[in-house]
Amino acid sequence: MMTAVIEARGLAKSYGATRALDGVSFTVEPGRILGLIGPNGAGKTTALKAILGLTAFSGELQVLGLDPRTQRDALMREVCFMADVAVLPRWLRVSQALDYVSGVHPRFDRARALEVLGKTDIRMTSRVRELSKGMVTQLHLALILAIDARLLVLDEPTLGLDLLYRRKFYDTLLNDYFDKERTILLTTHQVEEVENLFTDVIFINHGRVVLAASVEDLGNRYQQLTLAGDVVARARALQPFYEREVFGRVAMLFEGRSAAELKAFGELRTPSIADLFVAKMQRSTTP
Amino acid sequence: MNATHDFAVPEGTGSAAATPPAAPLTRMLTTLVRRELWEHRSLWIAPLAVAVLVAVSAFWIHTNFDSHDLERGWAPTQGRNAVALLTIAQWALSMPLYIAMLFVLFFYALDCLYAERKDRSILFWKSMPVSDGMTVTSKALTALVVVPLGVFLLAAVTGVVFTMLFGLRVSVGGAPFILSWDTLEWLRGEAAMLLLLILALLWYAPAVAALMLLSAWSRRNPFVWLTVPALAPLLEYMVFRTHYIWSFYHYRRYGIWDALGVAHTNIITKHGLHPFGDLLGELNWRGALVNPDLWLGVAVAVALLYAAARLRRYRDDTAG
Repeated sequence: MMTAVIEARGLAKSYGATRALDGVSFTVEPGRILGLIGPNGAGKTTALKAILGLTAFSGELQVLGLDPRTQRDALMREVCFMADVAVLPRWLRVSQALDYVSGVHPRFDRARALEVLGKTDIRMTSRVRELSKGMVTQLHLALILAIDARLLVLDEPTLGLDLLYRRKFYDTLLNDYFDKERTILLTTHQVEEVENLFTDVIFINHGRVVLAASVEDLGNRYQQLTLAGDVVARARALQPFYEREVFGRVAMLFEGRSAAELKAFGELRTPSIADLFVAKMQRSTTP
Repeated sequence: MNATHDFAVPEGTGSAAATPPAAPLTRMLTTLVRRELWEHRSLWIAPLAVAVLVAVSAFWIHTNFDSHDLERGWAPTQGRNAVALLTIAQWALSMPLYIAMLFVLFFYALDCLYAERKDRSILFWKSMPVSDGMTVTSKALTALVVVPLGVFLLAAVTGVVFTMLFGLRVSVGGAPFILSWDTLEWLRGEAAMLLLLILALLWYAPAVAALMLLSAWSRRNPFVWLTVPALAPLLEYMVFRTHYIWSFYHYRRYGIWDALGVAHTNIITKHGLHPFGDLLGELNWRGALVNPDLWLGVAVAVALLYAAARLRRYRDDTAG
C-alpha cells in the first residue's frame, strides 16, 4: 500500500481577523489529479502555500512524508509548483532559465525541456519580458515537465491566457507529464474547462472543506434531476439541496438518493463539477 | 534520467523512492552566483566601463611635472622613481574601479533580497530546491568575494594595459618617460592591494550584511529606510547633544585603517616616491588582523545574514 502524498489534519491560519484556513483536513493519494476549487479568498492559495512550506500555519501536515515547515529543502526536490501568474523574472533569458534549473535541480532533464520548448515559438535568446504571457507559461511548463517530481502544484496556472493556450497547457500536462507515479494538485477558476481532468475534487469556502470526494464517488453520491410540471412538488419532497430553473424546467440536485427513487420524476444524470460547485457554494455562503 | 516512469512501474516502488540528494554544493553556488550576475548586470558592467575609461586615459592623461615636483624629488626621471611611480599609478588607477564597485555593491546589497519579492519571482526561486540559507550565502558571496576579486583582477589588467598604452605614447614622443616596468615591484604592489582589499572586505562586511538584512526586511522601498540610519546621528545630537552614533559610524569607517597605520606611510614623501609594495613592510598588518573589532564585525555580519535568511524563509508577503 502506498502512503498518502498529502495528509492534512486541522490546518488553520489567520490573517488578522480573517480565517483563511479554518480546520482543513484532507488526504491525497498518489497518482491522482486533485482539483482544489473555491471562490476568491476561500483559502485555496493559503492551503497551497502551507503545502509548499511558504507560510506558517497550525495543524498537522505531511507532504510526501515530510513536514513542509521544517523539511522544506528536501521537499522541494520532489515537489514542483507554479504560482498563479507568471512569476519568471522578466530579465531572465530562456537559455539562462535552463542553465539555472539544471544547475540547482538534481532531477531536471535538460534534453526534455528542450524537446518541449522545440514545439513552441520560444527562442533561446529571448528574455522573459519579450515573451507573451502565453509563451511565458509555456516556458514555465517546459521547465516543470522536465523535472521528475512526485507532486506538482499548480495555482491558477492558466489565469489570463486565451483558450488556445489553456487547452494546449492541459493537453501537454495530461499527455506528457501525468502518470501513476505522479500527483497533481490544481486550483482554478475555470472549473468547467478542466473538470474532465480531475480524479478528485475538494471544494473549499471560507477556509473550510465543503466537499471532498473522488469523481467516481460524486457519481454515486449526487444526482441531478431535470423535470417539469406537477412532479416538481413531489420531487421537492425528497429534499434536493439545490434547485434552479432553466427554460421553464427545474434542475434539482440530490445527495444520497438512489437512481431508482428519482428516475420516475424526469431526466437523471450526474451533475457536472461546475454545477455541483455552484450549488455547494451557494449553500455554504447563505446558510 | 529515469525513463521507467513512462511505463507501468511495479507496485510499491513509488513510495520507496528516496528523496534525491541536493545538487553538489559548488555546482549550486556557481549557478546561484551566475544568476546574481545575470540579474544585476551593473555589478560587472559598471567596473568594466570604468576600466575601459581608465585604460584609454593613457592617451590623454596630463603628465607634466612642474618645478615644484622637481624640487621635492618627485619627478620620475630616475629609474627608481619611475618604478615607484608605476606602482603608485597602479594603485591610483585602480581607485576609480573600486569606487564604481562601492556604488554598485551598495545598490546591489540593498536590492538583492527586495527585488525578488517586488516582482514576485521569489515564488519561482522558491519552487526550486535551494534553501534560503544557500540563497543568502550566494548573494553575500557575490557581494563580498566574487565581485571584489573580479574587480581586483580587472584593476590589475587595467593597470597593465594602461602602462602599455602609455609606453606606446612615450615611444612616439607624445609623453615623457615616467613609468618604468618592474615585474617584482608590480607584484608587490598587487599583493599589498589584495591585502588591503581583503582587510576592507572583512571590516565592511557587517555594513554589507546590514544592507542585505534591510533588503530582506523592507516591505516597501528599502532605500527609504536608509534615511533612518542616515538621520540618526543628527537626531541624537538634537535630542541628547551627544554624538555616539556619529562616532560609531566614524569608527566603522576608519577604524581598520587607523589600526593599520595608513597615516604614517612613506610612499609619497617630501623627499621622493617609494614603491607601493613597501606597504607590505610598513603597515601594521598584524595589529589590524588581531583587532578584535574586525572579527567581532565578521561575527555580526554572519548573524545579520542569518537573520536575512530567516526572514526570507518565513516572510509571507506575496499574498495571492
